[in-house]
Amino acid sequence: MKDFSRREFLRWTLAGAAGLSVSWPVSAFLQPIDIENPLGSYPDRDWETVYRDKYKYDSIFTFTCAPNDTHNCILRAYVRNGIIVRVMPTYGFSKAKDYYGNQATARWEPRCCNKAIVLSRRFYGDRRLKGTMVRKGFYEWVKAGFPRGQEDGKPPKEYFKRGEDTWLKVPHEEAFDIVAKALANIGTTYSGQPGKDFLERQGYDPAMLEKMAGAGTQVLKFRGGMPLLGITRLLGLVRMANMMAILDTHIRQTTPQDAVGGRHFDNYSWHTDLPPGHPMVSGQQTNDCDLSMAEHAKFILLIGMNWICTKMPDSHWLTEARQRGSKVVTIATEYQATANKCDEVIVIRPGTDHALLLGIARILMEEKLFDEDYVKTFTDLPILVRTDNLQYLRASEVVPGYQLAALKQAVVFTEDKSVPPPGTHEMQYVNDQMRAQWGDHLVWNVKTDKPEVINRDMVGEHFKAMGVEPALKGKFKVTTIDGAEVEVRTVFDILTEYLNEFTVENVSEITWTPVEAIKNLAQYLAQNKASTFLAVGMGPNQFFNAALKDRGIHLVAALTNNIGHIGGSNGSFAGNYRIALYNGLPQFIIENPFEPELNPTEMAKPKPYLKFESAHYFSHGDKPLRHGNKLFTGSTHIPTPTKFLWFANSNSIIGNAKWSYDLIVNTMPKVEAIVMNEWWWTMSCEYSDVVFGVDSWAEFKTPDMCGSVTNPFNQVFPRSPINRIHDTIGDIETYAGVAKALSKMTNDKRFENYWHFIYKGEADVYLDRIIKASTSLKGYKFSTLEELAFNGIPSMKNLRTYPKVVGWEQTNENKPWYTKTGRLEFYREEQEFIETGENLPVYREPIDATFYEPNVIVAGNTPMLRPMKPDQYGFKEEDLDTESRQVRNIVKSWQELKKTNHPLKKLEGYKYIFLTPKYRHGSHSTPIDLDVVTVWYGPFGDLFRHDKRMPWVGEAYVYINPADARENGINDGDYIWIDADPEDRPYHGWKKEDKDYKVARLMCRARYYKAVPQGILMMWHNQYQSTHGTVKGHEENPDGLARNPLTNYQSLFRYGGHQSATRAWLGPTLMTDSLVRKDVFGQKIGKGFLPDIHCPVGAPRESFVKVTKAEDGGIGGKGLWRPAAAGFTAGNENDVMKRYLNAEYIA
Amino acid sequence: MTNDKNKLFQRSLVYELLSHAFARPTLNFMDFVESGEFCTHMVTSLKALPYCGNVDPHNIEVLANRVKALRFDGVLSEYEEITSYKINYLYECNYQNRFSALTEMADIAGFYKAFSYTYSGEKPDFLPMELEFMRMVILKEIRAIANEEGEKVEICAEVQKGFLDSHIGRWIPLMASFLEPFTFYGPLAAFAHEWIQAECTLMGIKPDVLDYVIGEDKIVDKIVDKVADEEQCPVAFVEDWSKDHETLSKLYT
Repeated sequence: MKDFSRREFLRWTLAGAAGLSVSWPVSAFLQPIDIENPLGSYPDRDWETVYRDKYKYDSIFTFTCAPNDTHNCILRAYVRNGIIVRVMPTYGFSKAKDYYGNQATARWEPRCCNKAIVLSRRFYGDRRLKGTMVRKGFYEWVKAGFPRGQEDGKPPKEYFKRGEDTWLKVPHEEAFDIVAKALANIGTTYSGQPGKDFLERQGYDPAMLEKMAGAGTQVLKFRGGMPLLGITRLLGLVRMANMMAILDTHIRQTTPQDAVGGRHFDNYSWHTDLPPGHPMVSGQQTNDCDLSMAEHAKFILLIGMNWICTKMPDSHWLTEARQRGSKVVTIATEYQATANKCDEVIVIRPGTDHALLLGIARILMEEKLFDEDYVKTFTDLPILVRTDNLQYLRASEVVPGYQLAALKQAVVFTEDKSVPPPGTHEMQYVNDQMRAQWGDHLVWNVKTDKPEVINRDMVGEHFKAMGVEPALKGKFKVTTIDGAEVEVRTVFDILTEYLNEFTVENVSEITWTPVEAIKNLAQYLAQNKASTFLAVGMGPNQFFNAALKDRGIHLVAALTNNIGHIGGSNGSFAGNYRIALYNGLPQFIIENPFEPELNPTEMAKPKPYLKFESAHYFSHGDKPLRHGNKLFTGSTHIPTPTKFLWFANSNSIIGNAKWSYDLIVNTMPKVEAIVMNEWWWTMSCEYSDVVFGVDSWAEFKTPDMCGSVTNPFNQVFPRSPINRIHDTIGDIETYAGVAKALSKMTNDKRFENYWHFIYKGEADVYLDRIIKASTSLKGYKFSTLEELAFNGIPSMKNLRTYPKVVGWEQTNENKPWYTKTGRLEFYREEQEFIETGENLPVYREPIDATFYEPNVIVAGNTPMLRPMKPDQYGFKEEDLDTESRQVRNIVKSWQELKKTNHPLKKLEGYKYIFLTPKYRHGSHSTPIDLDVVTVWYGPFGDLFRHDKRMPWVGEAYVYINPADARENGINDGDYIWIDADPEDRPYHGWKKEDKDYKVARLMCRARYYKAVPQGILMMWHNQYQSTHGTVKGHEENPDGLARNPLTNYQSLFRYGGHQSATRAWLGPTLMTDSLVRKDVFGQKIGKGFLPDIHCPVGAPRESFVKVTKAEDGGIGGKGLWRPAAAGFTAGNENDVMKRYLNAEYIA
Repeated sequence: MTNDKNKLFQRSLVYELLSHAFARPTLNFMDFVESGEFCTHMVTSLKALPYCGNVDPHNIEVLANRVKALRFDGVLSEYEEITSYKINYLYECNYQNRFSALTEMADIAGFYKAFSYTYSGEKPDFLPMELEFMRMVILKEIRAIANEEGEKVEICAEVQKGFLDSHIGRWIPLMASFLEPFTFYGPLAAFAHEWIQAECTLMGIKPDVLDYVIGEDKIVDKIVDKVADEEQCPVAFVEDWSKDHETLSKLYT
């Protein structure tokens, strides 16, 4: 038989047969399985029964869905002919066990939400990255050899038309070279004195330049977005930042000892998910518990938490708890989807949660409804504070020759001795200097009528064993060792005085809560000691007073002994932060780059060369908070200039950044290279320079692990058996690729060695090291976990309790908290707190989202509050501009405050608070633009897009009370403009005629909604916003889609976005150098800045706006929006609808 | 080469040329078009295929000048446009129902798999890939003829018919209507449409052509109007809606 060889086959192509002058692959897209004989294979006659049965699947495999909603579900993909045709739950959660054999229940099943069901449509969607893209202008800048201005070192502007430039698809290897060259060039440019001179001439704050200490690598910033969603693929960027130390040795010729790495941005705090007051009370990053704890609680109080919408796979815990008899009350700013799962609904004025909590605390304290035992043994409320200097009284001040107590519940170490790895810590580690500074404290013993020294070990039963009966109220006199008589008061007493302002009447007025509801809440809490679940969402966390609110929540929880009990504890539920449970991570993320361990059976030697910083400075114009005569950013927090930025899995750093248009217009032009890893083209990609096309969750060829905040499971991303859909690579391969390029460029193998096991396809080595060094994973082997995962079964972290409850060990085992006193601290004695008036957990008005004078401290006569005044800071009291407001400490009583106005009220139309909570159905930006998700997301979904003005098949809208809308001539469904403070939004320096302004000014649909009170506007957060490309597309595309013709990026807005009205806010007490808090990993206690623990969190719900009608809502801008005209929408009910609502059709 | 084999070969060449023409433009290929070589080869092939009498070569003849006018950047820009409007026009499954698109994609991949082809870097419903598949099956048919393997010849002929009937023959007409306004891709798509029609005629098949055009359907409006116009309890209309179930099912399921 004659056969056709490959050579023969070539003859049958156009190129072969016609001898063409051009060449192309003989088969460009399809690859024959038999390469030598590409035409030789034929199927049987009945092939169609095998290959074309639409209802069969050939195989299944599992993958982990890890979006930014953080729940993380392992899912089963059904595959036919290599295509994922559907996605379903694995039903393997009930088989999950921990190392000791504890098994999860079937009640975790099924774990899969609406987003996951349609996920395969995203894997195969049009916005997938098909390879690695480089912006043309950037490509040319690199090829031109990085030309710069002689004077200031800035690159020429013509290379930096981000957002409007075209893109080139380049081989991954070429992109690796480009990124390596950019790192080296930028790092070199800004090193040493010449670099400092350039930066000075570019106008950077001198404190930032000092912070660099001459190391150009300090302008190289990295960020693995929500890194717990991929502990090697995302946290690999921490490792990259650490590796920059090798680059520093080349740039500055330093020794490894003196080398400095790059910088890594924060995550949890950048997303405004960190509850910043938790470490202020407990020293702990976040006190929380698994959501399954709901079933153990008798009373569940939801505070700004839209549980049903935002915790989709875990929403059943709430509904089931209620079925079992738990009482559920929600406090929110609108009647939300969760409200109908509750017994009582309290709709409050936005940002006043803390005032409500203080009102409740006052009732509990005044009516003696609190748990005296808990208060005396676990809190600082009985501890004495000096009224002269507002500091805790120290034993050394009143006891001559006092020697610090030897602690039994902490290891005191000297700074020159290294602390053992975090995974080995069995108790707290405190350095001797801090221990000396903290001293020991005193309470007033009622039995002896004398002060009594206590130390930080003396909590719970240990305190009781002393036999001391501490006073809670009272002023006392003590004589110091130098003979002075000073007055001291208990924290409880000081608080009681402060809380006098928070009468139920005042609180009712401040918060809009009925008096009865406030009283009821206090009673419910008092009746449910150790069995109340205080579940807090992001609502109250996104105001400038968030830290104070956390202190209030802890106060109420502590007063009612609702901390650390299974069934009785508090929790803040947002973001993904339980990285502390993977405390073996230093093995990977900060392995010493100069001595990488290449023996797979040995453990790595961690050594940090990188530094961290908060991304909030970047979004604040890349500068710290310096105002009047003072730099308010503590020295431990000071950022460095951002010149190179590489981030992965994160649209939040640009596309969903607070004040994103200010970032794009004013800050990002100062950044010289922006590199991003993505599998779905986002707004951040639009403004990047290099975008690595990476694998989707279904295509991972390199395994990984992740964890979640709301459940105890440890999830694995098993290796995927399906082919990559496009020309993508793994995130971690991009780091390894750039490292290899750096090795080639510098002829230094150390870069390459740092990723040794990635090239070998043995990421397991890194994962096993992490497992081996992590307290909650010890005993596991990654290969076993991967095999389980492949069968749809997650593993469980080895925790002491299920559900996990932070504080359980303190409350049940009498262990100290991570504070100076070892107790929950409601008083803050540090100078930064005293001078802001936040030594007490005071209530401050929101900084922008208020009808009254912003950020005012509400207090009656409280001598223990002595904040610094504006004139002491070098500005005037009447200065109410946005920068001044952040550091403006003005005290007013409620009666005084309620007579004031927001400064914008002087301008016409400004009278609305604008909120952007996280939304239903989509819950975060990851899936929201998927057509079949978008249509569900709101009332404007229309797959057919009858109205060509629609940006997509659904679109962004704002909820507005019908009365407010009518007052502004706005009908249901109309397009409207929303404008925030013209001083700085949408960006500093905007002008009406700017094309940037057109992109940035927010336009959206108005949606009549009676569930929001008058004066409040609400728009769902985390949508894909407008870019220069989408506005161009919207105006030029024949079909009107707001889609960038050059990139396929799809906006849900015609113009602007939900971040058009927000800005960066930096809170002074979030930037202290003195706050004591636990480190991320292990139990070592430190102080000052720590990413995701003590740093700014922003305040994206702080906006005060006006609304203006833009266009009619009817199709093409003519007449009413159809459903409004039909008479079936809220506020537009026709007679038929009214009769229906009145139940007149019931027979 | 026998006459039959030559005709098959010319068919394979048309598919091959079209496959490259719908791929992301490269400088090489656009030079090839601009020089007139693309047109020459295409017209030569058409002339060898008597059933293509209705295929208007004009749509191919204009392409050289269109490239001259647009230059490479202009063609690339058009390509970016046609792949970034409300749908990327070059993927079959973007024309399919949203809820069954992946089933269709798996079906396409099943054709490839059955004939021992795999793919990478692109989804299987990408037009150039579908065109390339047709070309490869035709070449397999030539091989089978050469080897006198009657059953394999039949299988190859059948699969061409099946693939045209189930896939490529269904959506090319709709794609061509979308691409009509484009300087380069308009005539190219019009040619592809006529070519596929001629192929279907040759095979004696009439594919169920997709005529679903986003934005034209009024079924939802009709229901809203009905509810709005009649003074009855809105919920009572649920029953009436069910009358439209069949039409709705077609749209949504």
